[in-house]
Parts: sequence; C-alpha cells; structure tokens
Amino acid sequence: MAINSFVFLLFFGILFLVYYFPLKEKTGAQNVSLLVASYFFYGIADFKMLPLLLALTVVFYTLGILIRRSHERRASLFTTLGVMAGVATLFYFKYLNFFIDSFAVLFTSVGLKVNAATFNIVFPLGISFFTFRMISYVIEVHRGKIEPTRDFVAFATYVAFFPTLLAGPIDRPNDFIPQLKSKRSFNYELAVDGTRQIVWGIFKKMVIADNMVLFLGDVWSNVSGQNATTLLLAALVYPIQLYADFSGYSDMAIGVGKILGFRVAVNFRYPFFARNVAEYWRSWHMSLTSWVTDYVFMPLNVRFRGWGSEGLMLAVIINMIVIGIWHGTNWTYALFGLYHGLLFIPLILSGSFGRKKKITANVYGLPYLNDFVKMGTTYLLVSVGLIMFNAKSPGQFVDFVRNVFQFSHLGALTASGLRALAQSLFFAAIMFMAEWKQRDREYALQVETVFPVKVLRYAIYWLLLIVIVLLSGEEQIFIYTQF
Amino acid sequence: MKKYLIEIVFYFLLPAALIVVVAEYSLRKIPNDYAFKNQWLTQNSHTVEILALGSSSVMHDVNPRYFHKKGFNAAHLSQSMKYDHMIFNKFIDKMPLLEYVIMGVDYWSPFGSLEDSPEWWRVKYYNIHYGSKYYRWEGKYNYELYFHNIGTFKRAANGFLTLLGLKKESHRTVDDAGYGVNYTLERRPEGWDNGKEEALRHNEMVSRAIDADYMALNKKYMEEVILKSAERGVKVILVNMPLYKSYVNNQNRVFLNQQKDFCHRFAEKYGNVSYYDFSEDQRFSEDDFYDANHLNNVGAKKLSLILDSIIVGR
Repeated sequence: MAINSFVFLLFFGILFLVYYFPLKEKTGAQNVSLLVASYFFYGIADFKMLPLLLALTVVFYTLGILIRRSHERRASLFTTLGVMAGVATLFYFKYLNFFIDSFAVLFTSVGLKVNAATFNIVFPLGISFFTFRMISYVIEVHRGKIEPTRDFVAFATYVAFFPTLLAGPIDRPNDFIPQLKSKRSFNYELAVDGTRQIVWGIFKKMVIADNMVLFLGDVWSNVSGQNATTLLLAALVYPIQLYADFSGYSDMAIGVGKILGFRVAVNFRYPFFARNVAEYWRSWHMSLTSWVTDYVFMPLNVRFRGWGSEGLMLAVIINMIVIGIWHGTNWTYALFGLYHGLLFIPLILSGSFGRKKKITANVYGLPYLNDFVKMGTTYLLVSVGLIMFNAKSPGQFVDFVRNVFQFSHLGALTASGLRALAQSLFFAAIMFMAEWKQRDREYALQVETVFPVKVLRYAIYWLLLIVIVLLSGEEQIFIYTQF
Repeated sequence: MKKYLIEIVFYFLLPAALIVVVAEYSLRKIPNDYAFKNQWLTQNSHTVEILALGSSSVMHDVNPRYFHKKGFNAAHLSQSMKYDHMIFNKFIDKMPLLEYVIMGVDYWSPFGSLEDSPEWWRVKYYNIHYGSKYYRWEGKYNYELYFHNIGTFKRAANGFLTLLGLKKESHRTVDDAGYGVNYTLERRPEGWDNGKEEALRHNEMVSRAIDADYMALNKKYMEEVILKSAERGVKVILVNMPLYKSYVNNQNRVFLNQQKDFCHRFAEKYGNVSYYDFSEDQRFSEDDFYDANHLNNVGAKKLSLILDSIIVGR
C-alpha cells in the first residue's frame, strides 16, 4: 500500500474517523488504533515479517525497563546487548549474504578455494528504519535522556508508526514517545499544514521523480550502451530524482503525522542550496545523519580527540562510511560513504567544517554569485557521489565515469523518455524556485504568509492537484523503501 | 475539525470526485468500436450467419458486405484469442442462424496475450463495453481514467460536450457490419511499406511472449470455440491474412512454422475446422495493401469475395 495511493487514502480516511471521533482524546485507545493500523499497514507490505517486528519490539521494550532498573554495569551490559541485538538483526537480514559473497571472492582472488553457500534470507521492509529507532531507544534510556516507557502500546507504536515505518524519517524516542503519551485532540492548523505537505510531497514524487524514471531507468539499465552526453545528463539529473522521490515520501509521512497530531522528525532542509558538503549533510536525510552523528560520530570524535584534526577526519570518514553502508549490501555504498568522508577533509583543514552561516539573498532575491558557485560545485560533487550510490558495482561506476569522459562519444541524447525528462525538469525548476523563496519554512508549500488570501492559496493547491492528476508519471516504488 | 472536514470534503474531495465521475462517464459514452459492436451483437446476433473474429487484420481485411450470408465482423485492434473466445461465448447462444466462424490467426496470435502487449490498455474496453468478467477488481482494466494524461481529459471534455449535444465526438472506425473503414487505398500513407519494422517488432513480441508461454492458453480458447461450434453444427475457418512481401521476408521462420502448425493441428483434429493460408497469396498485389500487414478496401473486397466463394462453394 503505497502512501500516495488511493488505497492508502481509504485506509487513512477510516483511521482518521476512528481516531478523532469515537476515540477523541482517549490517548490509550488512540495509540491502540495507531498500532493496529501500523501492523495492518506493515502486514500488507510484508506480513511474514510481522512476528519479527513484534519480537524485536518486545525485546527492546523489556531491555528499556531492565536498563532503568539495573545498576550502571548491568545497565551498560543491557544497553550493549540492545545495540548488538539491533546491529545483529540488521547484519543477518541485510548484510550476511553480502559478507559471505565478499569473503568468497576475496579468498578466491588469493587462490584459496571456498565453497560459499549463501542463505535464502528475505529482507524485511523498513528494517533499517525500525532497528535504528529501537537502538536509539536503549541508548537514550541508558543515557538517562528518557525514562523507559511502561506503556507497551506506546513503545510499539513508536517503533512501527506507519507513516514512517518503511522509509523514515527515523524519529528519536525523546521526541516521539512523549507525543504518544500526551492528549491529542484535533489541531486545525497542524492538520491543514499536514495536508498541504502531503500534496507537496505527492507533487515531488509523482510529477518530478516518477517521470524522470523513464529517462534514468533506461540509462542505468544499459550504461555501456549510452554515449557521454546521455550519461552526463543522467548523472546531473539523478540527484534531483532521488531528492524528489525521498523528500516527497518524507513530506507525505510528516504530513500524515501532522494530521494525526504528531510532529515527525524533519528529514530535509533544501539540501541543494548547500554551499559545501557539510551543509549538504546537515540538510539531507537529516534524521539518519543526526542519528549516526549522535551514536557513531560523537563517541568516535571523543575517542580520537587526542589526535587533533586527523582524529576528526578519521571520525568523519568512519561516520560517512557507516551512512553509506546503512543503505545496503554493496561496496558502492561504502565507496559512496568514503568519498563523502574525503570531501570533508578540505573543510576540516580550512576550519569551515562546523561553520553554520545562514544563506542570504541579494537585492534581486537571488543567491549571491559566490554562494551560487558554491552551490553548483556542491551539487556536482554530490552528483559524482550518487553515481557510486546508484551503480550496481564499483565496475559499473568506473564504466559510467570512463564513458562520461570519452569526449569522442559525446553524441546526441539517446535514452528514451526525454519528453518526460524535459517535463519533470520544468517542474523541478519550479520546485527549486519555490524552495528558494520558502527556504526559511519547513517546506515550500507553506504559503499562508506569501499568499494570505485564501482563494489564491486554494487556487494554487488546485493547480498542483491538476498537475498531479494530468502529468504524474507511471507509479514507481519509493527508492528508500528498498533500504 | 468541522472546518477542516468541510474544507477537505467540499472544496477538494467532492469537486475532484465529481470531475472524475463526470470525466469517466463522458469517456465511456463516446461512441467507439467496442460499444458499437457489443450493442449491435446484443440487438442483432439472432440474424448473424457468419461471425468474423480476430485482431486488426480481420477488422480491416474482412468486409462482411461481400458475403452472400449475413455476416458481422467482431474483430478489434490487437484482439487476442482470449477475447475472441470471450465475445464468442457471450453471443453464441443468441446466434441460432450462425453457420461459420472466421477466425483470423495472425503471426503473433498463437503466442500472444493482450494483457502482456503494448496494447494492454485495450483490455478495459472489454470490461466496460462487453461486460467481460476478467479482472473485475483491477482498476487499470476497468476504468478509462486509471491511466491518464492531458489527452484523456481533453477527450473527456469533448465527450462531455457531446453528451450535452454541443459536439459530435466519436471514436468509431467501423461500419454497420463491423468492418474497419479507415484503411482505404486513397488514405494509404506515403511510407506505407512498414513490413520490415512491423515484422521485427512482432518477432520481438513473439520471442518475449514465448517465454511467458501463452500458447497453451490460446490453444484452450481456440479449442473451446471449435468444440462449442461443433456442438451447434457451426464450421470454423482459420485464416492467415494476406501479408506484403517485406513483412513475410522478415518474419522469424521458427515462429512462423509454429504459427502455421498451430492452425494445421486444429484443421487435422476437428472435422468442423478448415484452414486457409493467404499470407503469401499471389492474388494480392501492392495495391491491395494499406500497410504491410493490413489490406485496404480494395484488398479487403478481394479477400472477402474469396472467403465468400469458399463458404458458398461448400
């Protein structure tokens, strides 16, 4: 049940009526309805994995209570156990076969014969998201930032909250569990804001990202058959597709959360206006980067503190590799992480690594030229990284880059779907213009201050809906649901 | 809450639902070949003596007006055997006078499936207009609006204006006997000889369809039509339609042999089946074709008279 489908609209409509009418302000019952809806939602996507989700929830719920009850040493032991359980689950379902294969290749390459049999392991949807939620819960309980909840339903709902279950954002327990425990009555402003954010997310996903697939799918399925011009365009366009797809999903998830009275973690803050890679990562998949920063980078940074800037570089590189391999079982993800880690080195050496400078506009309302150049450079660097990210193997990445630089094979654009690409680029340009104008707001369609007249706002919403209905591409799965 | 629901329901959902319902209804009401043929058969099937079934080649190559008996052409563009079978089943019990069923067997027909072809979007017309029972719960096979673009809504607007009597939108391309009237010699396009491209496209289509193994299903559909016909004393004529040499020269011989073998086996096995292969018939010249795998009105007259002579000669 895709979040942008009619079936979801029906499912959500029923939940909305139950949640706000018979169960109005009955927090416990509302949480039960959310939990049932979340398990139903997950069951439709992957019913065989429901027991796993439930079992892990029970384990982490119990660990939370045990950590609070125990003395420091035992609490640390239980926390370690929790982290290990989460990592081991991820490792087993996501990485085991990959490591077996990789070791087999390694041994074979040095002349050792190995008979590597892989397991028939089914990848549970959303595992990277819900295990991270659970790991952060035990860590935060151990750190004393939150009290372990004794309300199992609230904890299970935090883990399986359906809008964010399959592709995030990864909510933190400190922010989300208290919301589950507080009284929730209908909030008009929040619901309108959420509805508008859903529409904006659908626009990004269905009009921009889904139409780009017609062009990009053709290129990536036959990299060696494309000329340099086509590959270059594909490399430049892919970041937009990924952004429109993933941030579109996040907008929809956050919007659904808002209608139900929740503030879900923000996941994107206009990453293509970033002027360096550090700014980019502070605004791209923020719920993951902040998670990894808190639980991987910060401890490493403390540990390597004595090594000066070299220690910081090492911590950043490890941090970025973890972000890379979080995405899946391919060396290209590790390469992607390493590449981004290396991009931080000049920033660390120049001292601009942690600098946060608000972006401003010139008298024409546009970015200053030097900012614009920096944004363009960052975009190009990100595009190169995303070639690695999207490549099926390091070899395909090398092929891609080599073919891009074969200027003798420039040629005309060869992939199909060019018309759909032109259309989606047109709407992407509109999206970026709206985002630039609205860069201080949570998302670009928060237009109540720009257009205070209601009729005008409604005309814009209708225009967007018409564009969605008439020009959406063929339905594609959300890219991040496969991670 | 009340304000939110009113805004969502009355300003967005209801108008949107109204537009969708009106657009869907308007599209369905635009006259087209499927609606016409279903309606004609519903009202007149008791008069039919010869029923022609098949895809675009039958629709444009067989003109029942040249038959001595009352005929009707129930072929549609890209119609696969599954839908030949569906139409036959729907009307067979209402055709007491039926004597002959002409079934066009194209190069791709024994291997093909409408659902698994680029023309899959035509499946919905069988559900909407013929009331087919296939895929009742799959939106893409039941609604005009399921896949849409600007063109769909433009058509819907024209359909709505037609309903209001302000326009005359029609997508009907067949005459009262179900024969496709658009492929005339006068209208033949400049580069009409598309034999190589069409044959290669069909080769590709067949090689993909072979993996999916629809042949057994098509055999079953054909067998049911033959057996039901036999029960009623109806004769089945299997026909390979005339093809231009550029098409024939580029057909995959392995697939072609399988296609012909498919027809031969039925003719050998069942007494009420006869098989005629016109694909390389020298009686059809360049001027008889509209394109490499469809006849024009001149060629259709020629083929229909040949078929009539076969029928009359019995």
